[in-house]
Amino acid sequence: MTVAVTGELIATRKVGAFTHLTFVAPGVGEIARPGHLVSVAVGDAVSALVARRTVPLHAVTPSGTYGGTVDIVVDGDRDPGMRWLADRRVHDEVALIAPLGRAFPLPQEPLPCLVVGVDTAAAPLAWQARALRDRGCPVELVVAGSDDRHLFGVVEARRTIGNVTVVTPGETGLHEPLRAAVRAGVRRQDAAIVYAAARAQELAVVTPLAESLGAVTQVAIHEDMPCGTGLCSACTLPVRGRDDRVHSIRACSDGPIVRGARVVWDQYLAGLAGELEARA
Amino acid sequence: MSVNLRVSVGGLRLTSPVMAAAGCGGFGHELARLGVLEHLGALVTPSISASSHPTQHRVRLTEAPSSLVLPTDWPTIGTDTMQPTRVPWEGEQGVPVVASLVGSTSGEFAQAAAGLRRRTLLRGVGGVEVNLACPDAGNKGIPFSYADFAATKVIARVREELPRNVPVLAKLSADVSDVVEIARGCVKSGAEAVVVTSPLRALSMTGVRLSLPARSAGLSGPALLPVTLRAVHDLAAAIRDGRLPPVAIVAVGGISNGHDAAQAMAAGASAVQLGTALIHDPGALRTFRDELVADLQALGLHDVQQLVGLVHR
Repeated sequence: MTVAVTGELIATRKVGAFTHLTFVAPGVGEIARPGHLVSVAVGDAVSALVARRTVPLHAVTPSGTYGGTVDIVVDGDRDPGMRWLADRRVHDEVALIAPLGRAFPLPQEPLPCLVVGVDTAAAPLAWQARALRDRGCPVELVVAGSDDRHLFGVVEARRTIGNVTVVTPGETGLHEPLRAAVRAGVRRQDAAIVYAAARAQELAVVTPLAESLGAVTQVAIHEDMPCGTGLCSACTLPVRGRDDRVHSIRACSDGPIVRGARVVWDQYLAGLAGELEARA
Repeated sequence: MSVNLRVSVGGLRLTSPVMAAAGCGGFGHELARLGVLEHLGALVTPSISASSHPTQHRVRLTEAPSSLVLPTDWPTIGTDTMQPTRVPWEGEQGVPVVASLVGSTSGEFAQAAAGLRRRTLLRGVGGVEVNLACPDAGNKGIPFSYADFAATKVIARVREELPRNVPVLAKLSADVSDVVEIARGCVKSGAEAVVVTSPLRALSMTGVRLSLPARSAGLSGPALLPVTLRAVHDLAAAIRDGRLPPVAIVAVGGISNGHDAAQAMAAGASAVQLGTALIHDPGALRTFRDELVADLQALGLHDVQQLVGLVHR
């Protein structure tokens, strides 16, 4: 069940390097859960952009004053499509489809959880942390970013969750401090589940570490998803099935949430190598 | 005034002249989930080959102005592994399905077609589209659609394998010296319809680096519309002059909405396919019919067939 609407922008504000946007989108709030995606058509009749932009929902409100809204967080420096989105002004209208993909699964029992987010991928995590806490799960948060302006949701998380570790790059980059924060976070509360939302490069670091410490990982793959609806198959990642065979799944429609242990990270990163190089 | 949108493409009867292009509409599940499948006249499947061919690299789309550059070597599904009991289009919602066949030799195309027939996969398939933009292993990787002999041979081999009541659609490239020449060979060897145009051969760069490995890649999207109109127009003109036997023409490449479809049909197409348009906005299917009907009514026409080839009259 998805909703396709042309949503009016009713609020926009800068949050560090990012832009936080609120659109009217009736009907999404009633069915969306943390982890779900929203796919947005960027550009307009005079734009040369064809592919969509697909990002995690940051928050939703069911029908209220504005008939239901969705919030997203975009990094305008990422590419021209994200820039177009970040530049929208109040009353502009944007065509969006939501909710898409799979949401984060929640544990049946009140188990201790660690929630890890990097960059704009962290957008759904405060929402997820609240959902976990409502189930009685003790929750800690790790928020990482390339610098202070690229940390998302720290203030809100401190207010609602409390236990937040902030990670910024050390001398050798982001991976080492991120590893240290995850190790400490899992050990401190003997976390049974690690929920992580990031790009593949960071997830490939966090996942094996958390699994080695005995935690189950549920990861939200932050990827370029040109359609968001499962039609274009350009966001595939290799996963190992129950039969031990490797096959491809689409991050947008079969994901973005997958069991971290199922992803074949080496192969995934090798496939991304050309893209990362071209972006550098 | 009610308007009739029913068309026939080489014997394939459609309730509406809009089809989903190969690989852009999946097997229908995704469009059904978005609630737009019922607006389609037909759905062309992703690539089907004789045996499954996963790709070792990621398929990646890159954006170019008003277009997308996409690799042409997509993973394919083999007829050898398709289970008749689990055919993706079984139990779909009544949209005619056209199977898109690929291969690297004429024999492989024939094998894929034979696989469909032998494994009773043809039940529920209304037609077969032969993707001639595949590289020909026997001709230095030059696509079949660039050499009339190669294209003709593939169509003849596929036609032999399929029952007469299954129309064969030949998907051609417009960036050739004479598309009429290629189409003539395909029609003579049994194609009931020609589809133009496959993505144009392209290369994608980010700065001074290749953003896709320099394998074959194609350009699709709104930028292609004038190229598509040219090819459709030339084929329709050739039919009119008797240089090409009568054959249904399907326009693909850059068609984004009902107004574009009306243009392509006026140029001579009996039906159109949406590809990149579905990626950009699958909701385009919802408004497609109204846009096409509005254009017909503005012309005082009550049957979409009256629009086909209007510019040639």
